[in-house]
Amino acid sequence: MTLPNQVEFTNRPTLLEDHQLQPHDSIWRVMLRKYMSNKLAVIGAILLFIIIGSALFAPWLAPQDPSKQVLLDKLSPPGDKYILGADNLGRDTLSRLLYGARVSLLVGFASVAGSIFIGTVIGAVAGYYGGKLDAVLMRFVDAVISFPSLFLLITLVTIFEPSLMTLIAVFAIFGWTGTARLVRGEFLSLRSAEFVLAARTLGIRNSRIIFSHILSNAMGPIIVSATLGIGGVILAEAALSYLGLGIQPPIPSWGNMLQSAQNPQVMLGAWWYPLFPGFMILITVLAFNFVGDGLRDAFDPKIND
Amino acid sequence: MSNLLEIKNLRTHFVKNKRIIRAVDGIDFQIGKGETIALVGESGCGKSMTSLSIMGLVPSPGGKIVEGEIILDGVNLLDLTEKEMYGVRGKDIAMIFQEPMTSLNPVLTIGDQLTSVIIHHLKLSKKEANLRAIEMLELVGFSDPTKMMKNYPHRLSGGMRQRVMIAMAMSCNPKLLIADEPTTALDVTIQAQVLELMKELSKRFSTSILLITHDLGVVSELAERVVVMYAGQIVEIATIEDLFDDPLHPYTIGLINSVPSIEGEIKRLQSIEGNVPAPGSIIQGCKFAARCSHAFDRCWIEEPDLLLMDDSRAVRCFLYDDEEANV
Repeated sequence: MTLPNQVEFTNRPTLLEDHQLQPHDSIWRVMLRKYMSNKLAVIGAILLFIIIGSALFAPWLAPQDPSKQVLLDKLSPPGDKYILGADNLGRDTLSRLLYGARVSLLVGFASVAGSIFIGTVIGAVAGYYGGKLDAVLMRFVDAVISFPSLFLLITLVTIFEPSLMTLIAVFAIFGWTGTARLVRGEFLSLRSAEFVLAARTLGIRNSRIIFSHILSNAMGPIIVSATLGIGGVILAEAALSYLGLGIQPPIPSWGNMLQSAQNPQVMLGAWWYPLFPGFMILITVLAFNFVGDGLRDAFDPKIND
Repeated sequence: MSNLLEIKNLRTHFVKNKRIIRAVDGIDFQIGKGETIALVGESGCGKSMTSLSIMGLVPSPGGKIVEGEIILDGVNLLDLTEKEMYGVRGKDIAMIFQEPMTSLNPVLTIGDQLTSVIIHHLKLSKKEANLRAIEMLELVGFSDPTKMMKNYPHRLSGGMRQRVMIAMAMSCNPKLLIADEPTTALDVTIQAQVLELMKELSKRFSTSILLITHDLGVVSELAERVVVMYAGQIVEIATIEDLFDDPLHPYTIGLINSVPSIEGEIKRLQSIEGNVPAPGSIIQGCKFAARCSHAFDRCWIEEPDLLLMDDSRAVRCFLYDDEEANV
């Protein structure tokens, strides 16, 4: 009796062709190519690389101690001594920007990590199990969205001291609803995918199906929303700081640097003081958005490179 | 032959818009150890629901097994908890599907998908599971299984994916393999290869196969006995020889006549008039009467029972009830 695999070798060019290909190249290569074809996304990635790199190496890059005050030099314009000028207490703006980047980015990354985690778990459970559980969880999401979150945020930050941790927690607690809806949608369509039924017939547990089989398919949109979310949180931190409820001085963040510059006399007289932190916020948020858009296209199988 | 699987009076119902749909309406049949049985019928006759009922994966909310027993090797699967069923699915009963293009997870490698099943059921180490997976891929005809392990499904053709599915289903040496239209989506040449492979493997591992199909060609290729379903009920059970030589139920006759044949003179293909009754509709009398050219008064009033003709033969039709009465 001829074994089926003998037929296989001679009659199946697909199999042979497959041997010439390198394993692993396809999915990531294709995505990388799609990403690279988007100029703005590449620029965004380079900017982010520089911003994150300089935040990480702030202690080595900063020309001065960010909290060292030289009152004699207050509001000195950009020049030899202070490349980007000095603030109203005579602190070096460049050094403060570099250290501020650490704080702003940390708040961004940490709170988005938190909100993505909450949102993914709730969205995944709702979407996978459906029915009553889904209805209850989604009404909960609706309720959280309907909260006047800015006021609650302000209240919470006032009750608990506005520290780094409270800020991160508050942003995470209010930021997850979008992710939950997104993930639920992905799960709703993926749970009826045939490979999910196939996995179930093979006796694979629900938890594993949710977190390994379906989640891996929903990773694209989640990463995109995380990237866009970081930009949003950095803006929100700036807004809260502007109200004096963000990161508290003397720890520099881009938001509280702007806040201390909001005095109109200072602003008009020393343009460099509000300009640079504002510019950094703008550039960073823009870069995150560009990268997010690029990732969205790269993950979208419907867009061909 | 002792029975591996016994299905007794299985009823799976759906509730949709407060109407009850009897997807599986009281079916009984057995599958012997190592036997291949085909479950045949048109779309919507309850074939796939029967297989999902056996798997304990009736879509819920909405679907529910309301009555019956599914006895695998002496154990009623309907008595098992969901946790215990995890150990049955994939280990004792495995399943392959119609659409090989979509039944593998696109973002996990073939190796990941195979080994996760093997580790789960056979409790092997990662390394041993890898070896087992490679062995299985070789068995289903891949020339370079080690390399295949690292591939993602999208690089494989339909036939290759169906082979992977078979490898996955067979990897834990199941007692029963449910094949739900395993070749419908494949090219004709590939169909033959896949059928041959299933035949080969079932013989080698003495796995019983429950083949679900509407393709009588596939049935004649693989099955030993055939169960014909219509509107959630079994209308005829016969060995493969009996079914093609001497079909009894008018529906079976209609099915066989609607298959084109290479041999003999060229005739116009016959089709069965009418449609499958809409799911959920309430029909008095025989469910097939409206489409049956032999229907007589009694068919419209009473519902026929499944008549046992002999050990391997049963039919649900009054035509044969009268014969019995006359003898």
